[in-house]
Amino acid sequence: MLVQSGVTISPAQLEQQVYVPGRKGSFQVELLAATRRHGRVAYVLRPELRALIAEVARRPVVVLQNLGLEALPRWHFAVVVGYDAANDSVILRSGTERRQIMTAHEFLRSWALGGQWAMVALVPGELPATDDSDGYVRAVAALEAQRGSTAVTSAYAAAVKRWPEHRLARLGLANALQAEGRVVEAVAEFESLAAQKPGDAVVLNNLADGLLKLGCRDRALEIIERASRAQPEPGRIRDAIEATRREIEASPARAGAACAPTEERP
Amino acid sequence: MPLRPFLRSFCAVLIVSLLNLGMLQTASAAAIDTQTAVALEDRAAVTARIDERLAREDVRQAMQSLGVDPDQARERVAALTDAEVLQLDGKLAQLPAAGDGGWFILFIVMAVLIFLFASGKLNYR
Repeated sequence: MLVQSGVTISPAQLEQQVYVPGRKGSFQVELLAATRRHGRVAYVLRPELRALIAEVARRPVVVLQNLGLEALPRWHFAVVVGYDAANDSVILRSGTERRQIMTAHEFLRSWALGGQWAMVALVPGELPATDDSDGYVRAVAALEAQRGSTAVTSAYAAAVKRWPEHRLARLGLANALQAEGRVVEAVAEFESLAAQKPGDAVVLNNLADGLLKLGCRDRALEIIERASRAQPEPGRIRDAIEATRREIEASPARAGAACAPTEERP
Repeated sequence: MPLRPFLRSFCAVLIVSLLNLGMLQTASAAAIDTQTAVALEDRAAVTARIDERLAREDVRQAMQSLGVDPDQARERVAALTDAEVLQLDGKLAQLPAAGDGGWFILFIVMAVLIFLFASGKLNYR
């Protein structure tokens, strides 16, 4: 499946990243992590047949099957490569078998016993077939935590294009743009997010950071004040706000730059 | 699912303490990353375990004891998100660990071959 999405990897390398000798197998979450280590968005499908069918029509899907009994499970990963509606059967790539055909009934039983778990590897910029903005944005954020913001700009951009009102997707895009040095675009997005929800401390902090990068020291100070008021409780966010404030205060005042708030979105 | 007031404030305390414990990562950068914003929204995971760093260490040790190379174990745990670590923590013995069905597939292949040979549909020549 990784190879299908354009990754070059040897089975031995992959084994090092997912195999647990003491359990003679691999854990689901480690499959996700390994997918991310190769720069792909590891998206877990909603546990429903509809989502699986929609996704299989576009790309191979890794599924967890229980080929044994509920009480005596035999866990197995396979790749679903197709659904043959005429014969009501599922085409799998399984172990060393390139093409295994299971009746839909048989497959669905094994899949249900495995908790209807399924995942796909998406190249940043590709979207899942299902309309699952929350799941997708979380999957992108997990990849971002590993590979950095600039690796996922296109993924957030695709998400914002499809779900224009999704705040986390918009925040992710703005962060990625900022990390890429496209600060003017990032600040415009932060401004618009802040206008929609004036008490969002994370957005305000990052807006202040962007404004500072643009040389708008006064406006950055004003925004970081608002961020402090929005997040009075101590913690990670509060500490980040204080760090931003120190950075602003330490920077020399610069003239120029258009520092007025830009209202792009209604 | 209504939470009783005590439970609610207990959760709040947990959330705040977890956010505190994550501080080491954001020491210098001024911008707050998207993953942190996601964590703020996914509060449900927070109640599972207070210290996510302890959980990571637990998982790493458990992996090592299951035969994963120490360097690999460190890298592999680092590649997991907080939520994924919490899913694994303390459950490495019970969670599904799936293979690609090596012996079973081999068994089927052998069975089919034996059947074909036995029924005379295949032979050695």
